[in-house]
Amino acid sequence: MNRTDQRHRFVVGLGLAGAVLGVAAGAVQVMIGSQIPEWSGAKASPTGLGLLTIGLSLLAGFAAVRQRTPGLTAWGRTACALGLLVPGLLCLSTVGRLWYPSAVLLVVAGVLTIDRWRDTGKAFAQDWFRVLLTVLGCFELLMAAGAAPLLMVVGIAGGMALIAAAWLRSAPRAVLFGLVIVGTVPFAALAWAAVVPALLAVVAAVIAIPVIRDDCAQPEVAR
Amino acid sequence: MTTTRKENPTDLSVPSRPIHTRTGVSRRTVLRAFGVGAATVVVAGTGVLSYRVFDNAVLDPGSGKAFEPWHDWQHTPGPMGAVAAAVLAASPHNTQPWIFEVGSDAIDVFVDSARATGTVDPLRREQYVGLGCAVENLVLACHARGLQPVLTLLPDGPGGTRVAHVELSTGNPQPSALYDAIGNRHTNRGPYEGRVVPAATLAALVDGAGLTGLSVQWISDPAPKAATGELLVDAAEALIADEQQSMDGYVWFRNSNDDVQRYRDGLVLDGQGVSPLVLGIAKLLPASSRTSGDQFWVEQTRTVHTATAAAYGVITTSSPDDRRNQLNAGRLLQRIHLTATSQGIALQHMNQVTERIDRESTTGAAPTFAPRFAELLPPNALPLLTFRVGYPVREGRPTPRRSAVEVTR
Repeated sequence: MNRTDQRHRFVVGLGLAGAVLGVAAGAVQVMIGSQIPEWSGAKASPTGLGLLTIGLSLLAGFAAVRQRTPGLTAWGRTACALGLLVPGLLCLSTVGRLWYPSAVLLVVAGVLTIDRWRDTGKAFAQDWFRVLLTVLGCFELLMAAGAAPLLMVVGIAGGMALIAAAWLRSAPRAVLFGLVIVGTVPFAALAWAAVVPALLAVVAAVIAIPVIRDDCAQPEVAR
Repeated sequence: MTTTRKENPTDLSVPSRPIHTRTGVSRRTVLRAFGVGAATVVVAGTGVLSYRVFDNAVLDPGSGKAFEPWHDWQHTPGPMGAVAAAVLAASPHNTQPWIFEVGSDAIDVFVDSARATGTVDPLRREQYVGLGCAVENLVLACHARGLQPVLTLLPDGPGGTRVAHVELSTGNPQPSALYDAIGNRHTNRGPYEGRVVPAATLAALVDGAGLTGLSVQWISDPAPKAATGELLVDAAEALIADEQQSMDGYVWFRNSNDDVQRYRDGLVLDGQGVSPLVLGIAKLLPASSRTSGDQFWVEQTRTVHTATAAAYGVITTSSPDDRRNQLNAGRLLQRIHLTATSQGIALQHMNQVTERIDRESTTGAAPTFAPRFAELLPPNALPLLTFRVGYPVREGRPTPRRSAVEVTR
């Protein structure tokens, strides 16, 4: 076993430990979060946030195991790293101090997941517009998370559609175009008074152009 | 990447000229880099705004613990259910200055003296009016639950903190249209339609049964209505010019959803009666300062509140400093508002004139507003409360409330 394999194995241990502690923190938040506000962050919706924490912890655990798969591409490894880093940081706002041990474990595991930072940076640069479209999809998911039930459903579906449009490389242009429309227009129409969903729709439409044309390479400096 | 013109290699008269900048970067590269950078900045800005949408609950206004009392008040049985209805009453600046003590056969209502608006209400008239509003809701809810209330106001005298004692006994449930309207009653600060509210309709809003020493003056004729509107705008301007009054009012403004959910009281953007688009934009912007909030209020008073009022109502009495009168005025006001709600008529409390009258009297300043208001009212009818009514352009929105459990000891 070489050093890289050893590191991957170490990440599995760290990630699973963080995930198990995270599930426990989420369960505590669900069961007695309102009784220990100084530890659980004094949240208004401890049950919902506890369940969200459990879900994200399971995702982190999956990412920790998955990153050990041989032959992962730079993007595959980056996705695993994000699967550890995003829950590691996001859950600081869901269960308060209960998350501190998991946060440390998952963030360290996420950082150690990356084998070659240069390859990761290059992958990001080459697919930068896809990354931006994905980020916009995540913003839509964020808005949907705080929306009324109908808007929440439309927003979650829309955010997922935008993310899918960013990464379905082999899909026909018509499909990608349809995903961008479905991902933005219904949410913007239903939430017009909030302005931002409409702004997001316009920005997504502009950024989707190079993605759909498969022309999203980072500018190269002339030699 | 470099770009060169197509050229004939045999034509030596035309030199090959790659389109480079002096640094060796092609124009296309620069433009693409600019596009990528601009797109990144725009996406980052969209992210900041998206977070504001999420953080201020722009897509789900009126949600969260702060608004739950509006949804579950009818489902709570017994005396606590009556308190759940009481906490939905109107109060000055939504201060909710009440504490309840609930027993199996009685409910006591106490004033929470800490919940005051300072120099805005120096004589605490509005505070006791708000308590009267809560007592009215409490009585209506007791009747609806078959609790047969017997009300005693100020059982410990006007100086006591206990403002009402409600004796309960078993009886038949007596629901009413006023009780049913409790959950839909909201102060509506938005524009009203130009439609006139007929005098008979205005008169029918007033049910003063059991409430002595009070009367309601309706001001709906054009000339006195215009004069009242002018008086209200002048009072609003005087109030914001008085820094202490301005500051004492501003502390009850809740600028963020976090504050709304934490304090569950006070004035909120949702209650300002602006259009959905303006409300959405306002929630995206940083919190407004006291002075800009003051200017907004005066502008709304001038261009919306007074400009679209169908009529003004003034509850008057011969002794506005009497605590019993203040409590009864609150009960009467609540009845008027609930009746108006059940008939699709909007109401907004507009007490800046009496607030200035009280401020001038407590600071020893020369009275300027009392004489002007007296000219609009019958002799010996001293103003206690003022409000406007009309048919609303859009519905009023609920404002945050502390739950019955939070205000019960």
